Amino acid sequence: MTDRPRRVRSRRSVLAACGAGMAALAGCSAVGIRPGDDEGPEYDAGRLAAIGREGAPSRPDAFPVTVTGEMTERHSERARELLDAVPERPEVPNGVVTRRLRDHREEVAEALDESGTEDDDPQAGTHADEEPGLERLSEARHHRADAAELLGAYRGATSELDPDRVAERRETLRSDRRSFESGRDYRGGEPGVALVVHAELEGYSDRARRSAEAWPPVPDDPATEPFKVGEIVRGLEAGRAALSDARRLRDRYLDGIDDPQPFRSAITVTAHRLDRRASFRWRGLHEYLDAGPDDLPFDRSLDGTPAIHLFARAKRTVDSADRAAEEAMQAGNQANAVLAGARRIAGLRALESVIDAIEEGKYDSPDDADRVAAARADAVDAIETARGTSPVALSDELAFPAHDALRLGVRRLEEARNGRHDVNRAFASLAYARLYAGAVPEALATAIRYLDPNADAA
Amino acid sequence: MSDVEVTFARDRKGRSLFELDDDEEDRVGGLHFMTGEEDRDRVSFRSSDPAGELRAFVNETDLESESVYLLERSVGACYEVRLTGVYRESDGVDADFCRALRPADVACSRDDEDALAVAIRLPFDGEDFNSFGSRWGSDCDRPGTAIAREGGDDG
Repeated sequence: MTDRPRRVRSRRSVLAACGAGMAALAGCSAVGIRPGDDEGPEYDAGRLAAIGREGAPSRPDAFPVTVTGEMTERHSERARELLDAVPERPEVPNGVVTRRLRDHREEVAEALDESGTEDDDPQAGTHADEEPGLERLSEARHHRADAAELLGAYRGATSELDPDRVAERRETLRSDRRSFESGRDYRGGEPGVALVVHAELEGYSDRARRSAEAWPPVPDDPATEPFKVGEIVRGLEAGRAALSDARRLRDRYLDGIDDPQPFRSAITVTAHRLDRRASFRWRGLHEYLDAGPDDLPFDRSLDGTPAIHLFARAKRTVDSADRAAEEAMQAGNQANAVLAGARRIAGLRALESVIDAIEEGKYDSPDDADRVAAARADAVDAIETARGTSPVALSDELAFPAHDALRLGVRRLEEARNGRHDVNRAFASLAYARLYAGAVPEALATAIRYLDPNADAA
Repeated sequence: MSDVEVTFARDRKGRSLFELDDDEEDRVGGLHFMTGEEDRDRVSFRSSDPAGELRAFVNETDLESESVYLLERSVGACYEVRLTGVYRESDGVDADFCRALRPADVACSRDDEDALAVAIRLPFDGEDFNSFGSRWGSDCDRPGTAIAREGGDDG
């Protein structure tokens, strides 16, 4: 039995012919062919940049729980409290410390004023509505943590900070987190949606765990290292903020469900089943995944083609999902392990498609800018189709690497300066976005089948 | 090397703490390696408390069997200097330093520059050495790496 019985290597010798030396259109600024690049197509840089400027569709706010203005405002209020506890012009004997404290205070105050203006301004409010709720929440926590860092540094510098008090607050956070974890059994309604919500909550809980650790200790004399004290206080505040958001998001989510069911076991089992399935597929592709860059098992040289970038990207995505899944498993974050496991499945399926296409002779340099435009359009369509798979919250999470590749591709087109090499890399990113997005529905279906015992039994 | 003795001296008015007999003007900065009486005689120390401590440290050194690496440079008044490593090479000595903020309750102006001298007593005569250097890091961000730091506040 071979490692990959399903694969029959094609030996297409007819490669996509490149129209050598295609003239740039008169009046357009053409991407120059670099010295040594005496073969292959020439491109109209203006047209490529225009394709790049079409950009990537923004990610819809697919998170199943609405982030209310009250949730972000709570952080802003706390941030203002912390800021107000620092004098407008802080002053300590050390002139450099004084300057840093003043600069930091100004920055925090400005950031808070700006976020407040956005909330008040109807135009800016529209913009804020477009920003995904979790990002707004994260931004609000960030401002709160910034203000806490400032106050921590100020109290450290003025020797008003009691190291024992910080230790107590860390202990309180540890205890609060334990209580949050012990009452959580991954309850929810639709399994795929519950998975996404609890994966998010795991991240917040993890943040709180790290903030509550006893390391690094507060210096015995805080005035000797006030900015280190600031960082410690910042971490603590960020952990408290994350845990309070986790509670509110969980409560809001469960409030909208009639009869929430526990999914802890289903999620744990799914994480392990996806791991086994992905590992099986990985072994089938090991000759490609284990190969070094100079030792790729293809029958043709990929040098100077988009194919080499496409393969590298596909391999990197698999490697990254492998690591994410392993880390999530080790941390006991089973919902994140499921998401990473499903991304592994999608990444491996996309890698198979990449290998097949390369062996069929595809993914030489695109003939012209129209071909690049088509690749972008195909990627956009594929991502929309992937995101159309229900539940959208989950398909959006799984499709993220495709969206990332699309964004990178269009940015590379906008910034293309280095002739054919840049175009090849951009084209590879766009192609990968399409191939990965095409693999999402199957990965999602597999995860849902494992998650839902009824579907599995059927 | 870990078996070294170190002393720091700081002049809060930014005046040079020592000068060599071939110095044409009074300027802060310089590196001098002492392996014998002749080298010691080339150095004149300013008459101030911190320079006096430096002179005493040098005078207490047995230059028959030991040597002194003497370095001076300007440093911001709100910063302190830490010695993070001393390396004996085949033909000389190198030292690594880093700079850290002084405690918040130390009065200093962010615009002032002090003169800082460091003397390192080395347990060998180093007579054949001819290569000396120093490396400076802008931030002492790795805790616990300093093998010596400024202890007091100067004069």
